[in-house]
Amino acid sequence: MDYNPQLLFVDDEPMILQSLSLLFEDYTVLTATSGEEGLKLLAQHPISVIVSDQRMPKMTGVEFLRQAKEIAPHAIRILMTGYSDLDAVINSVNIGEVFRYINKPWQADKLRETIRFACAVAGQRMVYVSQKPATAAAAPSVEAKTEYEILFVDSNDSHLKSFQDFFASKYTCHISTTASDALELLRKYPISVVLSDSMLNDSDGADFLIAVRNRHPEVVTILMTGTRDAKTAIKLINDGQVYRYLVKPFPRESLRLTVESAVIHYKVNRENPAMMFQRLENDTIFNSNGTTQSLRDVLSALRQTLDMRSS
Amino acid sequence: MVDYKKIKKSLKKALRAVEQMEMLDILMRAQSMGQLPPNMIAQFVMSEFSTAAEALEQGAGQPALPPKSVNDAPPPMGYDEWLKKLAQRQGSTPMNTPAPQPFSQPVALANSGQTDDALRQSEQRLRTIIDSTPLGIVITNEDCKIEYVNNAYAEIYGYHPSELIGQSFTIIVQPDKRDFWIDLHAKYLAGYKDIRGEWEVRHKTGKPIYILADAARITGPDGRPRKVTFVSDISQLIKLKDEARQSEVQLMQAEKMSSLGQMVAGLAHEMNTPLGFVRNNLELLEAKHNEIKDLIGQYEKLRSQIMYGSPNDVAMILSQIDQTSAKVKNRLYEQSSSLFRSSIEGVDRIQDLVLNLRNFSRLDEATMKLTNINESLDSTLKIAGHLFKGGIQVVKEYGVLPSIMVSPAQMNQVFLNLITNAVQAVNEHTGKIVIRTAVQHGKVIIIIADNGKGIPPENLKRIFDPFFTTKDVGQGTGLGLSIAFKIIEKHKGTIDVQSQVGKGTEFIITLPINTDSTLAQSQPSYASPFASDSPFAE
Repeated sequence: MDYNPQLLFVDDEPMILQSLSLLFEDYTVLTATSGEEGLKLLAQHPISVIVSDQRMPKMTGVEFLRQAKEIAPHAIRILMTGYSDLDAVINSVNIGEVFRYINKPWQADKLRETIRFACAVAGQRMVYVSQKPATAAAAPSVEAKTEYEILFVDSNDSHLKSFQDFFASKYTCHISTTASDALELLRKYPISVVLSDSMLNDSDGADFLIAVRNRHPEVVTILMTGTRDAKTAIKLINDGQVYRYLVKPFPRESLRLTVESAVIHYKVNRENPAMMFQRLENDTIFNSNGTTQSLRDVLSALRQTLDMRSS
Repeated sequence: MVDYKKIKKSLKKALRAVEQMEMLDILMRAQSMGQLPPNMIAQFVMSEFSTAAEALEQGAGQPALPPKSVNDAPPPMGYDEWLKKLAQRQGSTPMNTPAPQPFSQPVALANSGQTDDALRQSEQRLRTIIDSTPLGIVITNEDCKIEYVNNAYAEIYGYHPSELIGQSFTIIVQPDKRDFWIDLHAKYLAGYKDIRGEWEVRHKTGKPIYILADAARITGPDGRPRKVTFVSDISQLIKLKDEARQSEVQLMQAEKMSSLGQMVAGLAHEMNTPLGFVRNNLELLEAKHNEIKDLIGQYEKLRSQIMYGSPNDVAMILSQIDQTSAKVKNRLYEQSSSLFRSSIEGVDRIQDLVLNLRNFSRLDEATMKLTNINESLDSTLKIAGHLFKGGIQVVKEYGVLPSIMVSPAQMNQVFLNLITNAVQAVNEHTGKIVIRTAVQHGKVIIIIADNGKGIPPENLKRIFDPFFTTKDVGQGTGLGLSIAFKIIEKHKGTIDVQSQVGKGTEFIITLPINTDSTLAQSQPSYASPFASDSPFAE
C-alpha cells in the first residue's frame, strides 16, 4: 500500500475506542465518541474507512453514516453493533449503504481482514476519483428510454407483469420466476440491476442475489420481501453487498426512485474497478479457511518486516 | 407466540361469566336475607312456596315444624326465614302475619272456609312456576328417598323425573362421597349442618358437574321433616372461571415477556459492548504475552550463551533481545495495564447487568421482603438505563424511607412500567423525569412525574383498564398499568394519576408502612441463598 489509510472509529464507549486503536496500531486511527464529533473529523481528514456503533446517544450510527456518506462519499462505511435491531439492520442497507455489518463482540483477526480489505477498496476508489471527477450527479432524462436493462425475479407472475408494465417505458425489462432462468438471462444480457423477491420458485431470493453478486459483481442487487428478517439482511450485506432491502408493500414511486438510483450506482461501479475487489474477497478470504490462514501468515510476516524496519 | 386476541376474548367471556355468577350469588344472598328485589322468579317461587306450604299445613291440620329444630339450627340461611315466619304464624292470630304476598290469597281467606279454593289456586300457580323455573328443585325425605323433582332438576342431571322419584338422592353424588352425603342429609334435617354452597356432583353419564345449592327444611304431610333443595348448574361458570384464571396467568406472563422483550435490545447492546472490548483486549494481550514469552526465552538462551558460548554468540543474542524488546515495548505494551483494568471493569459491568436482570426475572416469586423503595427505584433505573440514552434527564428526589414489607420484584415491575411509560411520553431531548419519594401521613409516597405529552381526560380514566392501550398493535399489550394497579392493590396501597395534555403526567403511589416480618414467613420463599441479604452478591 503506497497510501496510509486513515480509520475513523465512532463509539460512545471509550474503552471500545481504546481497544480498537490498539488493534489497528499499524494504521492512522482517529476516534470519536459521538456522531457529531465523527462528522467533524470526517470533514478535516481523508478518512478511508468508517466503523461506527449503532446505539449512541443523540445520533444513531445509521444517521451518522447517512451524513458521512454526504461528507465523504468514497469512504467505506461499516456498522459495528452489539444488537441486531431489525430496523437498524435494514436502515443500514437502505440509508447507511454500509459495506459490512459486524456484530459485537468481534474477532480480532476477522476484523483486521475486513478493515484491510475495506482500505484496499477505499484506496482504489480514491485513485479513481482523483483521476476522474464523479459523474454520478448527471441524472438520466426522465422521459427517454435508457440503454439500461433490468431483471425482475419473482414467483408471482402478476407481480412480474406489473413491474414490467411500470418500467418498460424507460428500461429494457427481463422477467423470471426462477433463479436458474434468471442466472441464464444474466449471462445473455448486459443487465444493470436485479430485483428479486425473497421467495423464488426454485430457491431463496437472498441466496440467489448472493450468487448474482459472486458471478456478476458489477450488477446492483435489490431484495424485495414481505418478511423483515435481520439475519437475512446481515447475510445480504456481508456476503451479497445488496444495494437495497425493500419491504413489501412499497409505493410505486419509491420503487421507481430506488431503481433510478440503483442504475446510477451501477454506472459508477462499472467505471470503478475497485468494486471488483468484493468478488475477490468473497472468493478468497471468507469462503475458504485455508486461504484465510495463509493470508494471515503473509500479513503477520509483513507486519514483522515492518516492525523490523521501524526498530 | 401468545395469541392475544384469543386470550382477550376468552377472558372477556370469563369476566361475563363471573359477573353472572356474582349476580347469582347476590340473588342467593338476598334470598337468605329476605331482601329480594321485586318481580324476580325466585321471589315468586319463595312466596308461592310459603303460601302453598302454609295452605297445605292448614288444610291437613298438621302441626307446624317443631320450633326447637328451627331455633337450635345454625344461623338460618335461605328458606329458614320463611319457616320461622311460618312457625310464628301458626302460633299467633292471622292478623299478625306479614303483608300479603303478591301471588297469595289474603290470609284471612284461608281461615274463612274457602281453604279448598285457595289451596287449589295457589297450588296451581306454584306448580306452573316450579315447572318453568330454571332452578332445579328436589324434595328428599328422611330416608334419603327423592319424593319430588321438577323438570329443571332432572334436566341438570340428565335424567327423566320418573327415573329419580323414589330413588335415593345419592344417585347424583360421587360414589365415594355417598356416606358423606347421607350423613350431611341427616345432619341437615336435624338442623346441624348447612347445604348452601358449591358442590361437585355427578351427571347421569358419570361426568362431574358443579352446582350451586341451597336448601330448606319443610314438614311433610306425615309430620316428618323433608329437605327441599334448590340447585342451579354452574359447571359452565366454573369452567369459564378456571379459564379466566389461566388466561390471566398467561397474560401476566405475556406482559412480562413483552416488557422484557423491549429491554432485550438495550440489554444485549449493553452487554455486547463490554464483551466487545474485553474480547479484543484479551486477543491483544494474548499476542503481547506471546511476545514477552519469546523475550524470556531469549533471555534464557542468553544466560546459557554467557556461560558456555562465544562472545559472538552473546552479541548476536543480545541484538536479538534488543529487537524483541523493542517490539514488545510498543503502545500496546505501555497501555496493557489499562487494558487489563478496562477488561475487569467490562466484566463487572456485565455481571452487574446479569444481576439486575436476575432480579427482574423473578417476577412471579411474590416473596415479601423488607425493602427500601429507594433502592428498588435505583435498581429499576439501572435496568431501564438504556432508555435514557437520549437527552432525557432523570431527577431523583429521594426522601429517607423506612424499609417496608413488599415483593421487591413486583415493585420493580411497577416502577419499570411507569418509568418506561414516562420515557415514551417525553421528548428525547428535553424530557425530564422526576422521581420523588417521601413519608407522608404514615405512608410511603412514590411520585413518578414527567414533562411529556400528557394523557387526554377521556383516556385518563381508562388507563388502568386491562387491554386499554393507545400504542400500536404489537407495541403494548395494554396490560402494564392494569398489572401495576393490581400489584399495588395487593400491597394494600393506592396508585393515582394526574395528567395535563402538553404538560405532563404524574403517578402517585402510596404504600402502607408495614414492617411485619410474619407476612414474609407466611409466604413461600424461593429465594436463593445468594439473594441480596447474603454476603455474596451486590
